[in-house]
Parts: sequence; C-alpha cells; structure tokens
Amino acid sequence: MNSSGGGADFQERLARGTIVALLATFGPATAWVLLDPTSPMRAAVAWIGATVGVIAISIGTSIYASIRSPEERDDERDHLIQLRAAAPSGVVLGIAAVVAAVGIIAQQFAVNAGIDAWWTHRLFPAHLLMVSLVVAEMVQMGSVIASYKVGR
Amino acid sequence: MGGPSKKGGTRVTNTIRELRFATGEMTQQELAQKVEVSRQTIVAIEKGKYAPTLELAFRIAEAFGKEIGEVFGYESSQ
Repeated sequence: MNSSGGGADFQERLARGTIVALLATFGPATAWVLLDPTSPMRAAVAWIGATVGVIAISIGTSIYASIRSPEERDDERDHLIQLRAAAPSGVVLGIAAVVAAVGIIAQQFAVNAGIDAWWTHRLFPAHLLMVSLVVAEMVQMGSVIASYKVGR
Repeated sequence: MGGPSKKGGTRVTNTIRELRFATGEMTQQELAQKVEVSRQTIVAIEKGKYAPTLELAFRIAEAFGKEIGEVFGYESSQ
C-alpha cells in the first residue's frame, strides 16, 4: 500500500464509535428523562442504564476498530491529537460546572420565593451535569475526528 | 524539498517521498513499521501536515541512512 492518504486511523474509528454509542444510549435516555424530569427513579434508571450501555457499546466498537485496523498503533501524533481534543471538552465541563453551581444557588432563592418551575427541582443540576458530560465527550471525540480529517 | 508549508500545514519540509522512491520504492507502511508509527502519521508528515518530534525525525533519517538535515528542513517566513 503506497497511497498518499486515505484510511481512518484506529483512534478515528474509535472516536466515531464512541459518538455513535453516546447517541444510541444517551439520546433515548435523555428523551425518556424529559418526559418527567422530576422523577428520581426515572433519572436513576435512565442515566445508569445509558452509562452501562455506552460502556458496553464502547468495548464492542473498540474490538471492532482493532480488527479493522490491526496494523495501526498509537504513536506521538495520536497522543498529541488526544491532548488537543481534551481542551475544548474541558471548556464545556467548566461552563457546565459553573452553570450547575449558579443553578443550585438560584434554586434556593426560587424555593424561598415559592417559585415552582422545572429548573427549581433538585434533580436539575444532576441532569445538567449528566448532559454536560455527554456533550463534553462528544466535543472531544468530534475534535479527535476533525484532527484526523485534516491530517494533524 | 517536499511537504511544503501550506494552509494548515507546518513549516517543516521533508524529502521523505523522494527518499522512499530512491530507496527501492519503500512503501509508507514499510517506513511506518521501521520507525514504529502508524502509516497515517507518515502520510501526515509527508504532506507537511504534521511536524514530527525531534526523536521521530532522527528515526526517519536513520531509516534512510541519512543525516537529519538531508531529510528535514525549515521554511523560514523571511
């Protein structure tokens, strides 16, 4: 093989698989939670179920990717791409943490003022953090794929 | 020198492509195996998209039996 390009790296395949796994598990879980965001049982089942599901699918995609790209190994460029991809993901998590903190404080004011809204519910910060974790992971994987696409 | 700096690329140039063909048409895969990186990394270096670390640059030069300066160069902005 002597082509000048083409072919997805092992890590690129893995990143694609992770995005698919996240969409396939947390997508339906989020939709189900949104039907009744104030139910703790629903939240527990949805988030724990989605987490277990995404781990199972990730293991499967990892095995599949290693079969499809058996000759590829991680090298310095892979490590650099992974490091760079972590930066935007960290920004998403940072923003989510700040919003969650402000949300918790706002909840106390809202409860004291007798305001009853979806965002005043105790589960709201938990939902926000869970969704933020998923978004951050997707941003990271998207960044990895973009880096491999442009070749650096 | 190949691997010129272009939009989104590096300013590190190289003659890897020419050296591969001058060395019995060595494939990217063969070079990748010699220097212990993925073929995609060799592709990225050849195209000037990725500037290798000094250690990898030395390994690539060694794979061709050349001095590092004969394989890699730097495109000055001036």
